[in-house]
Amino acid sequence: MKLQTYEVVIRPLVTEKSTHQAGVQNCYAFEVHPEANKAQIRNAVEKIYDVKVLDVRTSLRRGKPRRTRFVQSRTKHWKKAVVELHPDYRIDLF
Amino acid sequence: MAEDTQQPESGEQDDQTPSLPENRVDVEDAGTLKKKVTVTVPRERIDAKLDEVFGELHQSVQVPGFRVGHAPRRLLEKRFGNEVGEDVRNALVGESVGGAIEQAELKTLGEPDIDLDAIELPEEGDMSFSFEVEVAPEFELPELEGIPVEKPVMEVTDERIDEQLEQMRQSQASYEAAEAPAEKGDAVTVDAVISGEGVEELKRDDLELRVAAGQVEGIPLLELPDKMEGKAAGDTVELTAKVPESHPNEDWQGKEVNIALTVKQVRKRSLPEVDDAFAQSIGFDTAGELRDYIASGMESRLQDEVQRHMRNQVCEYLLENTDFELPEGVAKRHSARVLQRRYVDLLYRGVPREQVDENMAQLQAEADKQAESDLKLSFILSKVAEQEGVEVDEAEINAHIAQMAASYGRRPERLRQELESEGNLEQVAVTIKEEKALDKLLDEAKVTEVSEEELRKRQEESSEQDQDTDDKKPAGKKAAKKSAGKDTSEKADEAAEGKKAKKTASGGAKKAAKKTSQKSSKKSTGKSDKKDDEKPDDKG
Repeated sequence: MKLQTYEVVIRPLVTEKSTHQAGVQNCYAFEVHPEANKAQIRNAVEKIYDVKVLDVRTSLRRGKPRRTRFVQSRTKHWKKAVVELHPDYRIDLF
Repeated sequence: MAEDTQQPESGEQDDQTPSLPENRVDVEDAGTLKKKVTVTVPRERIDAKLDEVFGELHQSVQVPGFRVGHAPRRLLEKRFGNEVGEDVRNALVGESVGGAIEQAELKTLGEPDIDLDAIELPEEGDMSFSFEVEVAPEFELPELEGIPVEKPVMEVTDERIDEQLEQMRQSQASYEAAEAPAEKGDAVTVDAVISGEGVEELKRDDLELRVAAGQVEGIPLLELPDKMEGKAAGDTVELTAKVPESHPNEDWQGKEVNIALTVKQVRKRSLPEVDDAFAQSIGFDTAGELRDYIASGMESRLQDEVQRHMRNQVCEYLLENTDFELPEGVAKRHSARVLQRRYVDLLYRGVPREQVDENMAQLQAEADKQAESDLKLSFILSKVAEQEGVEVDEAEINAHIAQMAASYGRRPERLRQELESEGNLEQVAVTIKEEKALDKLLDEAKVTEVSEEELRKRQEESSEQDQDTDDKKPAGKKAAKKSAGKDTSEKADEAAEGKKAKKTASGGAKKAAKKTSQKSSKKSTGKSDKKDDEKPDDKG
C-alpha cells in the first residue's frame, strides 16, 4: 500500500546533536516510517516543510532490550532519516 | 549559519549594561488623596530582565534530548516563554512600583492595588502599566508651642491610703459562725427556692451568699442586703426579681420570679485590724511598710493618670485645630478593623450575637468616627514628629518591647522576634515616635494646674462617661501602666469606647458589664476589665 505523506515522516528529532547539525550542516533529523524509502522521505519533507532537499541518509535503529522482572522484551525498531537541505532553505523546528 | 547556535545568545546575556534607561513615571490626580501613577518600563530593561531569567533557566533546566545547560535559548523561549514572561512581568512591576513612588515623591499609604494579570508583557516595545495609590494628606499643623493644657494636681493623701487599706481589709475579712442576726457585709448560708409564673420551681440548698447586692442562679438581686439585714438563722426572706433577657435559661428570660431564701446560718464578718500582724500576713514586715508601699504605688499611678490626662488634652487640641480629609480606602480599612475588634469584644463579654447584629449600623458609624480620629491623630503626630525632629533609636525600641513583654509576662527577646517576623516592629517604632512627639509637645505646652476637685466637678458635668476615669483610679496598677505605655491612638480608642460602651449597652451589655465587675474584685470596673481583654488582639 502506498504510504501517505504524513505517514512517512513521524516526527522531527530535536536533540543536541540534531540542533548542532542543523546549525552547522543544515541537516535535520526525523523519525520516519520503517518502510519508507529515501525518495518517499525526500518528497514528504519537501512537501511538509516547503524546502528543497539535497540528500537523505537513513539508518535503522534497533530497539533496545528491556526487561520487566523475568519478562524480556524490547523497544520497537525504528528508522531515522537525516535530511540535508539546500543552503537557501531552513526548517524551524522549535 | 551560526544564527541558531547558543553562542551569540550567551554572549548577549553577559553584557548587561550597567546604565539602563530609567522608567518613565507619570502621575495624575484621581480623586481625593488618590493618585494615578503610570509607569513605562523601557524595552531595554525588559530585555535585560528576560536575559537574566533565561540565563538562570539555561543553567538549570532539563530538556529531553539535551544535557543540562546545553538546550538552545530559542527552544527555551518557546517552551517556557509564558511562565518566564509572567515572572519577568511580576518582577518588573514589583521593582518599578517602589521606584516609581519614590521618584514621584509620593507619601503613599498602604500598598498600591495592582492587578498583575491585567498587565501584559509586550513582545516588542515598552511595557507600561498604571495603578492607583492613596497618598498621605497634606495639611498645616496648628501652633505647637504653648498648647493650653490643664494639669490635675493629684496628691497621695492619707485618706486615699486609708481607703486602699480599707479595701485590703475587706478582701482579707474572715467569717465566723454566730447566732446574731445578719448585718450588711456578713455571709449567710441559705436554701433558695425559685418559683414564678411559667417557671419550674427550682430548689438550691446551701448557697453561700454575702449580705450585699449579688445574684442567685444568674438573677441579680439588688435589694438583697436591705431585706437580709437583721435576719437570723431560721428566718425566711422573700424577694421578687426580674430575670434579665440575657439569662442562659430561656424559660426564665424576662420573667418575674419569686425567690425565697431560708437562712440556715449567719456568719459574722470580722475585719482584721491594720497592724503589723496584718501586714505580715500579706508579706510586709510592719504596717508602716505596707503604707509606704501603697503610697509609692499610688504615687506612680497618679502620675500616670496625670500624664495620660495631659496627653489626651494635647491630642484633643491637635484634632480640633487641624483640618484635612482622609484618604477613603485607608479610613475604610481602619474602620473595619475597629469594628471587628468591637464586635468580638462585645461577643466576648456575653452580649448575644443577635443584639450585636441589631446595633451593627450604630457600631459601624461609631467605628467610622473613631477610625477617623485615630488616623487623623496618627497623621498629625507623625508630622509633628517630623517637624520637631523626633528620632527613635534601637535602645528605645528595646525598652518599649521589654515593657510590653513584662506586661504580657513574656520574654523580651521572644516578643521581639515575633514582632519582627510579623512585621510589627515598625509599628512599635511608630508608636514610640508618636509618644515622644506628644511628650515634646507637652514640654512646650502651657500648663495650668487644676485642683482635683475642680476637675472632678467638671467631669461630672461634662458627661457620665468620664466618671469611669475616676473609678478607674484605684483600679489595678497594671491597667494604668499599660495604658500609659499604649499607643496614643489607642488611648483615644479607649476614651471613645467608654462612650460607646454606654451607648450600646442598652440592655445586655450593661448588665453583662455590671456582672463581670461585680464578680471580679470590687476595685476594677468593667472598663478596666475590658482593657485587659482588648490588649492581646491589639497586636494581632
